[in-house]
Amino acid sequence: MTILDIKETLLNYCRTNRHLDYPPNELSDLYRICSYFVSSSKQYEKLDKIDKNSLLALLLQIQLLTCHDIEAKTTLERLADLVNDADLVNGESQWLINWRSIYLQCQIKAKKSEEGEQEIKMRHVFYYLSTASEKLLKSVNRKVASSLGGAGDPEKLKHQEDLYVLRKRRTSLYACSMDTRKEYVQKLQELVDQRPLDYEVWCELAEVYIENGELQKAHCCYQEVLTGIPLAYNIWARLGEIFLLSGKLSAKKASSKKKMGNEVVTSLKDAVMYFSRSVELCDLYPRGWCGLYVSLTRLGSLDIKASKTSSKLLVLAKKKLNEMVEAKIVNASEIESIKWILKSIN
Amino acid sequence: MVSNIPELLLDPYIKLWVLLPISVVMVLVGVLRTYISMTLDPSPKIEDHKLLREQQHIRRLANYCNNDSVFRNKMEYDAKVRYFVDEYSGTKYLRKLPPKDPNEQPNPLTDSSSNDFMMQSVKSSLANWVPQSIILWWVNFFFKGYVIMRLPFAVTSNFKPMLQTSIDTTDLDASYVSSISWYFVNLLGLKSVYSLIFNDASMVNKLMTQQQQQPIQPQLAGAGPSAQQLFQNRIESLKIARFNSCLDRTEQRLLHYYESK
Repeated sequence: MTILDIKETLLNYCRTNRHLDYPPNELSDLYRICSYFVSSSKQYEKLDKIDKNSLLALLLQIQLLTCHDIEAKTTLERLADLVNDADLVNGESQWLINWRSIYLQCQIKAKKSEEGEQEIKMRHVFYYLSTASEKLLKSVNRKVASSLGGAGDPEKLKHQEDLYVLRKRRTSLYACSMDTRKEYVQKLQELVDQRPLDYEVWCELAEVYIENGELQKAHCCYQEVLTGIPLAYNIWARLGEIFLLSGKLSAKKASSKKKMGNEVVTSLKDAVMYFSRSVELCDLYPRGWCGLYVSLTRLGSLDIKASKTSSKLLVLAKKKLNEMVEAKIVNASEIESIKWILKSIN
Repeated sequence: MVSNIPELLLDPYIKLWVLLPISVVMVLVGVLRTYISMTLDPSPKIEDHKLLREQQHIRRLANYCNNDSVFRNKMEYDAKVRYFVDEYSGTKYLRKLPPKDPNEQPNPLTDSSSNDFMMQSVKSSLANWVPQSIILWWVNFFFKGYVIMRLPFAVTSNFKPMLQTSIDTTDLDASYVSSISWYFVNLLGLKSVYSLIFNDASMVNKLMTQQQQQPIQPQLAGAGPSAQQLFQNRIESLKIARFNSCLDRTEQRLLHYYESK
């Protein structure tokens, strides 16, 4: 029974990618469990190829995150062997190239010394990606051309655009250096145009917009995510945070006090709306409750006549946050932030 | 009533020369077919980006129809719809430009993608049905009308049509099994034997589903609405949808929920 549980939890990590924002101590725990599971051949060997593949990819990610580079190299080889066994696409696949390039990038980061040098090495990753994808395309196209139904039909040949995984990976490299940041937005927009249902890209685009201060555009991007996943409570809360930010911005910008007041109040009210939707969907989402608390306090401090509901909500949010801290029902790091917010914002 | 009928005397050699060969042949053919279908299996393909883009954009419009409640107010929603009407009315997101003559029907045989699908389904159904019909013919030709065994337990007469195909004796006790019925029982019930042989659950499941159902027919070109029509339909429904925001009265809902708790 316990063995089954470990397998399920690990596969769960593969699906949710929750490990990517774990603190180091939890990551190292996870690394221990995962590497033990993969190397203890009995349970691992029973899995089918798809599960094996996702577990190995998970292990590779964790190894890279915990700086086990030599082990990561071995895992990479195992992944390649698995793909070769399955005889997918001539022993090469988009994902393999993707993982190799990530490994390469991590090696570069480890050796980083100067800014200029890093950029040269970034170019190495680019170079690897483009040569590898060209090779892959060539072999795929050779296969297509020699297949029974495909000969003499140029429509069947594949193009660079068909390799979406690699395209996404290449785009993500633009984020690494400050010079290419502007191109990064453009590339993300191209990706979104190509696959409008890839919500990871929409979220990333929104975050880049927030970084640039283009809050309206970020709002649109997150709205797009919500149309696909209407119950994503974290996105609802993030939208609330955008409104909080825009309230802050307009408070700074505004020249006359009265005009400022109106704009700030509307964005704060919107923020309250979005945060309440978020906690309505997830009762235990600390970020949503904190946002609700902060936006309501700010509304109150603007000395306008507060409505009955908002004052009641403020009491509720405070009570809920205190409950979370006392009962310790959320993560330790979250509790720290809640305490800080309760202390500093009154 | 059952006790009045004398028991049939079955030749013990029937077990050795009929029952056993049928079972062994069925198992062996099943194993063989698995390996044949493994070689015929298509390796995962890289999808055409234009096709995927078209489908995802259609799906995006559908999402907007279904989840329009995430918008703050009608103004925001209407602005989005207006943008979509402009954006999707053209041919920008179509995989192929529509034919100039609207009445022209595309030929499904010249469409490369559906060609592939058809080829694949022909292959897999050949690998499935050819051996099965050969065995059925073999059993029918040599052992038609054989009563090959008696089940060690009593069954109700409802099982007669299942267990006694090709034997037309109405009074015979239902626990006797005819050869053709034994073939069918084997066809549907060998899963545990296969799982012993293959030691791989996914392969067994694949084999059993192959045996029991026809592959789903993919949509051929020319059948069903074209992508352009789909886009137009979605936009139409976006235009006429009734807007209702889920953000209306959220605060009150939240308060009400916690107060009533």
